[in-house]
Amino acid sequence: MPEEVLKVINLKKRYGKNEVIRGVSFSINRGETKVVIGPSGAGKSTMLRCLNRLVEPDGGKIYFNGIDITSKDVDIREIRSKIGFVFQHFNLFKHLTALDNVKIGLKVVKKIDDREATERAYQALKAVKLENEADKYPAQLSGGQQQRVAIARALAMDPEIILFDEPTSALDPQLVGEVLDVMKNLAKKHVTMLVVTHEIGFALSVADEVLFFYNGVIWEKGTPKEIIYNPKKKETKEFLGRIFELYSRGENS
Amino acid sequence: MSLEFIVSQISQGIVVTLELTALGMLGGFLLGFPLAVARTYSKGFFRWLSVGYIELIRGTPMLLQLYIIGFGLPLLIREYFPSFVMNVFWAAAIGMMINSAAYQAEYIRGAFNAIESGQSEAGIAMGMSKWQIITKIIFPQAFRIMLPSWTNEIIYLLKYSSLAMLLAVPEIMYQAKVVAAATFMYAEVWLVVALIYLTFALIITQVMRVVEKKIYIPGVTMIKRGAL
Repeated sequence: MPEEVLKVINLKKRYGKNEVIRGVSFSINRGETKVVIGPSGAGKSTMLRCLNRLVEPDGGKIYFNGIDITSKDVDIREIRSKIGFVFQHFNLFKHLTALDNVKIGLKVVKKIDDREATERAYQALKAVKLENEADKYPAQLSGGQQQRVAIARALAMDPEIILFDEPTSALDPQLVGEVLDVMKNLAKKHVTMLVVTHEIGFALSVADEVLFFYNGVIWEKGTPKEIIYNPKKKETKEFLGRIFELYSRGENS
Repeated sequence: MSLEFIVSQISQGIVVTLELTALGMLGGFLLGFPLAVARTYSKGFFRWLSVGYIELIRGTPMLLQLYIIGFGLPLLIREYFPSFVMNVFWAAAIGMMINSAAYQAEYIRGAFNAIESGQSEAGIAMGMSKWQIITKIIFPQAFRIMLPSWTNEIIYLLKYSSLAMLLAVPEIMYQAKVVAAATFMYAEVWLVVALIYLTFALIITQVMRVVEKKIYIPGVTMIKRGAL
């Protein structure tokens, strides 16, 4: 029987009168990659941020390895250390080298000694093919390299799941590929991932399931092929139509 | 009476002036840092306490603060301990610490606010505590951002330590006044005093410029000016 890493039941979040998330339920099993797509403002990022309580949800339950992490009794910092998070704008620590960015969580949060932390950080940088840039500061790296360091930083903590919040949206088009390659690699190694993205190609090649987010709920879900080539609902079709139009622009003109 | 005599007399105050400046900076930082943290990151009582302290100290003259500590406070303490004698040097040093803390707190707070929220979000997401984020992520960056205003504060304290002469602390200005009264060479004395302060201010500026370069990290602060 597959092991549920994350199970979300009826998640809700409102800002004032504005209901951003209106009852979202889904689950991810160990080793799975799920992709969340949907128009801007649909609540995708907010939903992702609720999963490690970077944003406090207003209602619903989130079970991480069977533990309800919305409960006040839970040590949320301990839980967060097991949930990797990759941000749209990388958020690398500006004052630390690539290596130290990867090391700091191991040392400060996991209390691993310096020698072992260095070793593990190097391994993680190797996994994203950046071991030669270990001594560079974030400002000295390209956007794509920074995002790969951010992935290494998440990876080094040995997380149960990694959450990606539009990891390629802030990148120049020619840098998107290198980040997606790293992520595809992780998916093939069965790292559990939940990815918010507009990269339909990525969803098609590695996702086990695609969730179409619309108006604060999961509007439609299914296998990548079902959702992308045969969407059932009007809103899904419209959204995908716009995405395809964007990607194929110029081809027929 | 030679110029050398004047210089040697006034120079006796240099160490005291530098000690006051250094103690003011150090104490001001140790007190100012928690004030800045409280004002930026806490709510309720501690934030209110920090705001109250900063506004009170910034809103009253430093001379008045020195008088209260040097003359007012000892009177109050003597009500209960009649034999109490206030050491004027420490009265001035503590006054400068208390004063500088308010200003340093504001410099530190300004630097805290200059750091993008994504930095602390990344720390939260990996499971760091608030304190770990402040000390390991925010402060190392904030320190570099605030360094120029910190240099300003050192020079400010160097000059305003001269107010300690009014508590009869034997710093540069006090020594100068004694020599001037004895020699009547007022013009020469004040000129020498000005040169001494200027020399140390320039040394501090130069040292801090080197420190800024030494701890420079690309992307955190700028050292070379851009196109402008």
